Amino acid sequence: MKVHATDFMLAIAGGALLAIMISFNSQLAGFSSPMTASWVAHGIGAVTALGLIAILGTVSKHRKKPVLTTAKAPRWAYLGGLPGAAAVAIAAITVNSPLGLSGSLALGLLGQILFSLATDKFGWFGLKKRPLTVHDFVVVGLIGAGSMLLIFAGDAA
Amino acid sequence: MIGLILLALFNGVLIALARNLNGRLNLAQGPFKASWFNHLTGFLFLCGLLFAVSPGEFHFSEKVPGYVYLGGVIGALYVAVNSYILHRIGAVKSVLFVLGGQMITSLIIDAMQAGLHNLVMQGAGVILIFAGMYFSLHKSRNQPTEKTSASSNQRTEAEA
Repeated sequence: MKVHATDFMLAIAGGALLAIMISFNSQLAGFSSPMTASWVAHGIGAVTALGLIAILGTVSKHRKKPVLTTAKAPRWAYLGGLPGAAAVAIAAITVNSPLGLSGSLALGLLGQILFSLATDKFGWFGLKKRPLTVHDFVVVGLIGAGSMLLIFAGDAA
Repeated sequence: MIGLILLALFNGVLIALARNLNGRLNLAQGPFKASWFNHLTGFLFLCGLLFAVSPGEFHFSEKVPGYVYLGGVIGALYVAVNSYILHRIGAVKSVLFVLGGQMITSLIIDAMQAGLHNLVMQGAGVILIFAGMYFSLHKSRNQPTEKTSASSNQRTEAEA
């Protein structure tokens, strides 16, 4: 697949959205609990996604490349919400343990990166198989180390 | 402690797993349906979990500022974006670029709320993240299999 600069900019923008979402959701959690806040956020998110589908369904009818398609997907592909929601519940345990917020974040990142290295290498979940190179590990090291510094700098403040 | 460490690591695996499932659905049905099913199944799962853990504790303070509910709206967009890019740039690059954007944005949020208290570590962190992103893009442009046909990128390559 061709590399497009917009894909990388979208990824960075996605990370920015994630940070803002976490900030809002943890403020909401401060008034209730992490799980209740996540429950509310998932409900609002579902309604939002449904609204977007309704709008795009009418808007994109005349486009050559439709935004909404109805090809078949394996059944497991519909279950992304389960591990995502379970992660919220588990985070509530680890954040309130000696690991704290920073430790939980750092270890979670490590888990994410290791699992992603495996998915790319073995081509899991329909991804294109891609051999890992030294270059991958250098990039992982740089961005991973930078993130750890930011996570623990917030802690030390 | 070992158990907690493994649990926190496993949590990262769960998050990556969720993204991979959503990314697969995106291939078949587009990013917004992936976001819809992610939020629907997550919502139903949390309904059950909340009921099992503490039935009846669904109360919210009236003091909650309205804008924090936007977290759900932003979440719908975030899942759509993440599902869309996964198969286009691969799992590792998705995680790293999303992470970079997340870390720098949360630093900006922290700075606005409380100021920066650890400039050396935070400055070094930002530099490392940008270096990693630059290195990742720089190298992938030079790989013949991934060469882009976009004219703007060829121009940057020629200048570099």
